[in-house]
Amino acid sequence: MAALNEVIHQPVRLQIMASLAALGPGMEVGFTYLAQLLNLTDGNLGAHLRKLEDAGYVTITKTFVDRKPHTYIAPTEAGRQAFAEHVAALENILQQGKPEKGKGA
Amino acid sequence: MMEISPEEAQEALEAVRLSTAKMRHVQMLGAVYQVAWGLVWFFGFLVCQFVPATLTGPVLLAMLIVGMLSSMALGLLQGRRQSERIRATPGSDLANLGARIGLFFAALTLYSLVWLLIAQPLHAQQVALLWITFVMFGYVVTGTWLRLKPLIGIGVVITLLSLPGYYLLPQFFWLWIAISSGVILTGTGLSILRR
Repeated sequence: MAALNEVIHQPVRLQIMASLAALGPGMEVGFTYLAQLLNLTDGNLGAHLRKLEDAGYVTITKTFVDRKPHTYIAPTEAGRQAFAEHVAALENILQQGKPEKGKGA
Repeated sequence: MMEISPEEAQEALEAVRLSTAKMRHVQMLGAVYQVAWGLVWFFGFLVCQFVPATLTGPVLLAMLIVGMLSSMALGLLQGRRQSERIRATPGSDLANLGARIGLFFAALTLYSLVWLLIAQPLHAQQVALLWITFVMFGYVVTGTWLRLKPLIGIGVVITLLSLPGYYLLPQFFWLWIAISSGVILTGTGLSILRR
């Protein structure tokens, strides 16, 4: 049975992983845009990304576009799998919490 | 081991749903090109229904120019910003596939121009039908490469729908393709953007 993932469960990291898991395979998102999308400060996003990177769930690529520095984030395969298991665990908890069919209130 | 209540689980799943929807929407912004071309096809073909036959050629040329200018304007408006938002990882299969799709469409355009020349004389309805079927062939091929069934579906459906207009309803051909190609292209593009 899928278990909750303590690294991913933190609300900001959960949103980050949900956004990254929605990326198509081989796609990556810009750091600035991800911060804007999730309404986070650069510092806050950076701190959470470091934890996800330490866990092996994301890769962070620093590059230059038109001589300007840009940072891109992508989920790793392990990150996608861990996120999917975490979501499955959440759904399982939700299912178990619902009243069973056929039983009165 | 972590334990949370069903209410907390529901809140977390709602947060997941919202973040997922936002990111999927960003990735679908390419559909604005489809909407632009759908509108060009709809209004352009509609105009062809009501102008004298001698003017349909110039109208088709005007449609091509308007469509290309619209695509260029959209590309300038969102191109750089979009690549700063999301991009294919350099060297990834997707990035390589993107380059291949670009080359394929360039080749398709060149070959279609050659075939248009070879097949002369063509009347305006045949030119329009060739235009639609070439673009829809591109949809089917791209959909096959990217494993995107909706693209294949759009390509097949618009191609199949445009043919009866040519063979069975020649007097209403322009009206028929304005609806069967322009409306479907615009409608499916808008539905992708609204997801």
